[in-house]
Amino acid sequence: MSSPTPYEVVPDPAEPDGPDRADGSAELDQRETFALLFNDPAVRTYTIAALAALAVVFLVLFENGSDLGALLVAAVGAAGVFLRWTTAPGFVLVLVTYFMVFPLGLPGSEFESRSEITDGRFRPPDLMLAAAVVVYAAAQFRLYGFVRQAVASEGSDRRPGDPPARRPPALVSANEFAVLLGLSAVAVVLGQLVWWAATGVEVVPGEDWPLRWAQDSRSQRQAFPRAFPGDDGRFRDAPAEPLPPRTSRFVLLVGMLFFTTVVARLVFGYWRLRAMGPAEGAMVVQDGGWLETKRERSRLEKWRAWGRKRAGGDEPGGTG
Amino acid sequence: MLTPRGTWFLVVSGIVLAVGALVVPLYSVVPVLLALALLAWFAAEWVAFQTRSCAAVSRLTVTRTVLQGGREVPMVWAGLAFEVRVTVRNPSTFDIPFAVVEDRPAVATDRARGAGRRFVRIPAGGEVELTHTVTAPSLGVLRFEGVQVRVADPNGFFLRRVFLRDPAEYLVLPPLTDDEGRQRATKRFNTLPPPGAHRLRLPGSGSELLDLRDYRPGDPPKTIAWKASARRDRLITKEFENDVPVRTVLFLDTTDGVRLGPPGNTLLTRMAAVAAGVAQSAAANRDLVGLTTFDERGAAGASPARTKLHMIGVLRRLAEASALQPGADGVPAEVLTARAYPLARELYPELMDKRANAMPLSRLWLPLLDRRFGWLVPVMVIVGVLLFYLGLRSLYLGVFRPEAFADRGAWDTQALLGARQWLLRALNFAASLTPASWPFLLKVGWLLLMLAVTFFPPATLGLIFWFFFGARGWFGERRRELTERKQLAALFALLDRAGPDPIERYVADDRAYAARAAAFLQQHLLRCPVPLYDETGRYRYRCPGKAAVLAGALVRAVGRARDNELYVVFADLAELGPDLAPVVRACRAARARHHHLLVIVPWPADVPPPDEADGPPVVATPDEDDRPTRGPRARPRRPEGGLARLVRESLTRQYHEAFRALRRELGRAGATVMRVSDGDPVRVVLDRLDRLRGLRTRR
Repeated sequence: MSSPTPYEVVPDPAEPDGPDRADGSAELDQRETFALLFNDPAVRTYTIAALAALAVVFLVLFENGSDLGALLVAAVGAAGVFLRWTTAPGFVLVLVTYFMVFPLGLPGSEFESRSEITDGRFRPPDLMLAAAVVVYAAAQFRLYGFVRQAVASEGSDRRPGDPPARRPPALVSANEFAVLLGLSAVAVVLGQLVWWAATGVEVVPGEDWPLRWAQDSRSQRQAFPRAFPGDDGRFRDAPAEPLPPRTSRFVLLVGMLFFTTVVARLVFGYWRLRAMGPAEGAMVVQDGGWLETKRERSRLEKWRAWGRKRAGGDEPGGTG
Repeated sequence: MLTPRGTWFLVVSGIVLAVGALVVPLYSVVPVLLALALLAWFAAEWVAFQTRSCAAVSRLTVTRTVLQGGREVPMVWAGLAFEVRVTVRNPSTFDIPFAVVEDRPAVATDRARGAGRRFVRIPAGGEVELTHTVTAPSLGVLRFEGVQVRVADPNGFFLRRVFLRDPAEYLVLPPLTDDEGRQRATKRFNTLPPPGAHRLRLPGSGSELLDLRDYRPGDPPKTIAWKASARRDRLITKEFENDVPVRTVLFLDTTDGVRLGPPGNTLLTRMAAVAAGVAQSAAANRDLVGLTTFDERGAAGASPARTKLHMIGVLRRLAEASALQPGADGVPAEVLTARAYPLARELYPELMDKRANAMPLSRLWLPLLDRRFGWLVPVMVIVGVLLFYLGLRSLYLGVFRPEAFADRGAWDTQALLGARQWLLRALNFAASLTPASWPFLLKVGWLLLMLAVTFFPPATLGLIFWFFFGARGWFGERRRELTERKQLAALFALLDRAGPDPIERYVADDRAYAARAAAFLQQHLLRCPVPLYDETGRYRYRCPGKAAVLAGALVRAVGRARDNELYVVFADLAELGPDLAPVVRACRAARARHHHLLVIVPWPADVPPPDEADGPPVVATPDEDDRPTRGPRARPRRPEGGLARLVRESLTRQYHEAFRALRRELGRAGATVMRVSDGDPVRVVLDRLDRLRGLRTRR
């Protein structure tokens, strides 16, 4: 075996075979996909994370008594990872929901418990399951970005024959996966907190401040079933009746969602206005001026067309 | 922007949240906890993306450098690869972890190396560079619009596309031939003639012997050939060659007819390439070269000169002429919109976004009163109210006649009771038409509508008709067309800095809109399909006016000429027919002054030359044009048949006849006519030029 000349390009034996790590425009076939999933260090991390998360989901479901559901979820999730199904996280979520309600897989196997809502806060198996599902969904979507498409096409702006835009593994930073794990943990805790707030607070429309802790309300109702005298000796009304628990949860969840969205939109909307370029700002101002005067301008143009037609010219025509 | 993937994820998570929180919480709270965790993660990704989008993506800048031969150049040479280097800077303190940076390719360029697209991480305060090598096969103007940057989150939920506009135009000059390096290998002389010296047949005061002739009184004695005189026993005089520069003037046709065709492959581009070769060949022979470009409106030119700077100027003018585009007169506004709208969305995404350039529903509303029959609706409304009033009045005065009652009070009571009864019946009727199972608000609305129908039938029907007539504008093709046109009109108004005034003008006036949209397309060097024939079926781009302009330019050149001028006309004159008369007269005038005249006609690519074997013509359908001619996907092109073949043969025959007539007419006037086909190299033209000049040059 002859030694390589200085001009020969010797492939690095550590480099895996396959597509360019820094280029995402090549379309991968199934074989190259497998090679990327298991050979590339950055992608392999996500592959292992997705499979591990599925294993945790499997275990929790199995522990819950739904062995069929555990198998189904694991199969659909693994197929999503290996066969590039972008809809797999949705299916996994729906399957987990179904089998958590119907552990045996058939309607009628559900078990109703009045204390499920109050007892279901910060249970370790639920925390593990939620974290596993979040990690699986994130890993699955990122894997899909590595092997198929990371940048969506913009509807009508898509040009035929456009190459896919995969996310090259070379762009994965060293701490990306750690950030994902941390973010997943925060998201799980935040979800628990939101649920705790939605079930621990009840809406009382008749009160000045229409929210109060559900525990206080219950204790008040138990202590003063009808009415009670106050310090001044006069009888006061019993505490106002709160909304039913389901309605209260609905109002609270929708309210939290609404106000969070409004605040976020306000913050980022204002930031966007601040970051707006001169041309975009000029367009906004111009469009505002047009919006205020469009009726008058449209009428003027109709008179212009009429005048031209009357003067013997042809009708200008238009879409307005 | 939320991508479809993000939308689906949000929808599924929202459904699971609703089911988990409202339907099944007593069985298991896990679904709602899962959904809340997923939504919290989604929200966190959204906040991160929005933060980067506002802080970093909005502040990206771009610079462009074009290098040829290793140094930055303001213009490039056709056929030679040049490097385009684009640098995208991120001055913010946030990095962009994943972006696709894509340099928008200039029209009529071939990519030689590099993809023009990179998948990058743009670090905070840093920059990324995109380098690719491009070749411009033909001369003209290259326009680089800018760089498109698409930023996405790692999960593919969000996407933001910005276009960093950095318009830059570069002239593509014809390849500069090296005076010594491109000489023919069979040259017969190793020395260049002195500058400006050019040997011609006409006798003059040069140093090379041209001929011997009999002595004429007045000939200087020093020109007598004494040996020849002694041999013949009579005085013989030597004649010497004339050493004067040959002035070559090129006339280039730039009318709309020669601008038609795909970018970089028009008749004008081919003629300009040949003209550039002729000009450089003449300059290599130390001749003076001038250039006159003409169209139907006038001519503009540069006087013959010999300096390097002048030659560069001539090449620049040729490149600029090559980039000219045909006018868009007669192109329907819809066609222009179909071309201009995608371009505008690509180049000006933030200005075409509905947040900045909106189309309100009220503007899409179809105004009923613009139609003559629309005035029936107000009439119906008024009539409806009148009928209601008259009905009540007749009920009051007619049914319950006052004379039938003993006193006024009884009559009043009876009339009021009757009216009340009538109203109650109407209410009952309306209530009977309202389904009881509907929700409360819907039921109230429906009841009010039924009451309106009961009390004011014509007015209510008229108003319902008015609503449905106007609401038709919110749907369908008109909505799309009007929205696109308004957005383009607003963009044009902004680019022209004209304020909101022209927006409605462009929406309402097809002519003004078409002119502006065509100018927009031409500014961005994008061609739109132009109709070749007018309403009467005549060819719209015959351009007969150019004959008079060309004749005037020729006559002016003759008037300014000294001697030994060579006029080379690059023009599509074949179809002018009787309109050619001014050119013929000008050619005669030029020949009368002993100037040489060469007319070069560009031969259309789709017409076989006259000397080519007349095989069955083939035609390619549009979808076949992209097929390879070789390889497994190649399909044999089907021969034309039937009527199409007849028409094509007839048109070909007609063009051949026209060309023969042109050659005959101009030949009679003393001009030489030659055609340049698509594949003819410039060398062929130069050889013919050499033959025309009597092989008197050193080549």
